[in-house]
Amino acid sequence: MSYLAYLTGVAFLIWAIVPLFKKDSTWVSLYVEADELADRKQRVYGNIADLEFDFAMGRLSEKDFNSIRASFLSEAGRVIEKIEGQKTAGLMDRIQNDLSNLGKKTKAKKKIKKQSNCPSCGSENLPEAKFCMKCGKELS
Amino acid sequence: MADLGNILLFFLFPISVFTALTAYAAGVTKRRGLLEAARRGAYAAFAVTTLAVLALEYLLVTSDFSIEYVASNTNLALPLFYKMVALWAGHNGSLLLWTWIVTMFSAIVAYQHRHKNNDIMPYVIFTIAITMTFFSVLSVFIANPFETLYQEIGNTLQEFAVQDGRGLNPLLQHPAMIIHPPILFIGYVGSVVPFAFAIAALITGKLGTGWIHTTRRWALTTWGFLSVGIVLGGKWAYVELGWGGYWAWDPVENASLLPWLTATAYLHSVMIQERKGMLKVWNMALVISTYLLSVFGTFLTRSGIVSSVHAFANSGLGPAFAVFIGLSTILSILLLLYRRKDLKPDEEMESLVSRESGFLFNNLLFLLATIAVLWGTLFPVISEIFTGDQITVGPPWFNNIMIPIGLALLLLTGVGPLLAWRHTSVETMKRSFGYPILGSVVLVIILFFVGVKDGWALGSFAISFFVMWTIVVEFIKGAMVRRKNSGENFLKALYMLSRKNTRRYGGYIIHVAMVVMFIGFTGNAFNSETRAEVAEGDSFQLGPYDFKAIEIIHDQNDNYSAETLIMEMSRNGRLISTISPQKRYYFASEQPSTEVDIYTTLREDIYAVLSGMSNDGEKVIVQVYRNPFVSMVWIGAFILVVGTLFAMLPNYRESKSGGAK
Repeated sequence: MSYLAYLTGVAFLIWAIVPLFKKDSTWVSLYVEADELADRKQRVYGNIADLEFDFAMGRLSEKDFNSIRASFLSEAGRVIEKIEGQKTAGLMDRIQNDLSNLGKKTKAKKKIKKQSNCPSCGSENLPEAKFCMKCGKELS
Repeated sequence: MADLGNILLFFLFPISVFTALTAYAAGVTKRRGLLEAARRGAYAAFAVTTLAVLALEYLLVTSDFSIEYVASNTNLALPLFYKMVALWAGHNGSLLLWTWIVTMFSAIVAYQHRHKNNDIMPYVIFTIAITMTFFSVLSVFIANPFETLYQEIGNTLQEFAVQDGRGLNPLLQHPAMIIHPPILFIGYVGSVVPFAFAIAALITGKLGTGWIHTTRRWALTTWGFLSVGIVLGGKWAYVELGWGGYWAWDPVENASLLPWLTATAYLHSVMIQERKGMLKVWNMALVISTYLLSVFGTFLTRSGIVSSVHAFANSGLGPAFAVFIGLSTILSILLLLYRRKDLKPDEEMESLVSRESGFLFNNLLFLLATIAVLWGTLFPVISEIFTGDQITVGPPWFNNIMIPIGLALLLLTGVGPLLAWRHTSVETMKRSFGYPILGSVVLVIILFFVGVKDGWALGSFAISFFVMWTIVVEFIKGAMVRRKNSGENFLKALYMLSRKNTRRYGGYIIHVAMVVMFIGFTGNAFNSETRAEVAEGDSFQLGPYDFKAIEIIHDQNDNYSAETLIMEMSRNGRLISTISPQKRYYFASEQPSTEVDIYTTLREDIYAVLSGMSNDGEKVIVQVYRNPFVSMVWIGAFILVVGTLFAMLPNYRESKSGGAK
């Protein structure tokens, strides 16, 4: 009986160790800054949604509502510009559009972009990368 | 079978260490193979522990009395069902259950995130694996449930088996006891998941709200289990301990309340971080404290430290726990200090009258409550260190502090949601609070003249009324706003409104649950009781109720002998019900136990206990309690579960092209 137990335990350990000996690759960390900006964008949008709800429920005056909303909108603009790294035209329209679609289904489910592996060295790269971050070869 | 279980359990130790090491290495090197190995380690740990648990169950069910744990917690006459749940009746078995749940959660987390969050997952698995390692050390080396019985024959120790076990503690032979420990344990252990994500965020520097979003459901589920576990513990105490109440500020009860307090604080303060980027350190601290307090709670429950410091020191568990909790605390604090610059708030507080300041007060009160309960619970230990005597602070001490804090929190439940973020003007405050306050004042006046003179009770009823009013108005007003914009009918609008923001409205439902439970708690102010020695045919009174002893029955079965008093209960000469408390004496454990009988209505419980025989053996002593509103506590708990489940539903998303417009 106890042989069986030893065998089971060892089998599990070996099963866990196996991946260590497989051909290996690494993944690329997403940038902390990009993470933070995405976070801030989400926060501003959430804030505007809450503000509109509070206003509809009669929790703040129209004057307060307008001034707070304006400051949120310009913050949203700043964040988006920072994310994209450039001044963008029609920013406010885009934000308004984003806002009106908040909490709604997006028609085609966003395809989750997979990180792409380099064909020559196997390293993982960001989806938008054109060249491998590790060996510099072009990614197809 | 004992060997089998023991060996499999032993493997948990190397597997946990392996998992921790590979996970950490994966974090540093970002190698996929290492992460895969760590993940498999988590699965393997779950597998071997599951097999070990099954082995112990087999031993319990087949009554293998060569195993110390089986002999101490079961006996032959014990019903099969109780043999099975004896897994968590004792020390070592409960630790194994804890360990098993940790491995289960670790496997679930590893599986859920197998394709995502590669950056933080190594450290998440690492943190959980460290916990796993600690519990495997406890289960394998210090409190092994597979230990066999030994006796000294000459100079050698030999294994032996007893004829029959000592049986399950009679107090534990109750249906609530079957589910209470596992539910509470899931609540305790679940806190390890948000904790692990928080630690991983601190290690990797990814300190945004990502880790909070990822663990939202875990935190809420854990909180729900903890809440239900606490209430079930109260229910068990109420029906099984026979002293007439459900909460006595007992160290073990407090141990479960502590992580609940910090977890509740976290569920609120997290919203400030999401909206304002503030309180980042504080949220981390709350998640970490919840986890540490959960481990501390397990330690307190299983070590007996408060009843006697010395008993726990001998068991070997105490020092191990102390070291683990101490190290975890220190390391967590160091990590927080290391990241303190990155955890700076993005914004400042703008106004004292705002939603965020409401949350802030809420957190302050929860913090006060946590400190008070912790201090009161540990006071016997602290006093023993300094004076040599254990000085216990009783329920009055806790009530004096916790009733005001509880009521203040309840009040905030009503006020907070009505405040706007950032700034609320005086004008809108008047509009929101005018009628509910007026209503509460009228209620207090009416109650006072009806005869309610207790100040706290009046305050509690007034606040409950106020909160209930504001919540109902929130739902109605929200639905009306939506109806105006969408053209849906009122009920549809109400449904869509709540489904579109399940967290907000689930939260409101939980607030309703709290109001209902507080009404139940307030009932304690009106409790009354009486004690009588009765022979067959005697009668006595409690309030408007008359009790008449009809018959005293003696009988017995294999498990216990019992005396039962059958009484008729009537009000104004009209028979309402029979009520028959029982006293049992369990043979195997040589322990008595009281089986109370409770007549429950929405308005009050009539609770009868058979305390024993009178000195001359002619009569029985019966104690009857009249406890108003107790059922509100259980109903509140049920609403709480509904609210928690609702809050966990994903938000309903309308289709972009119109839909419900």
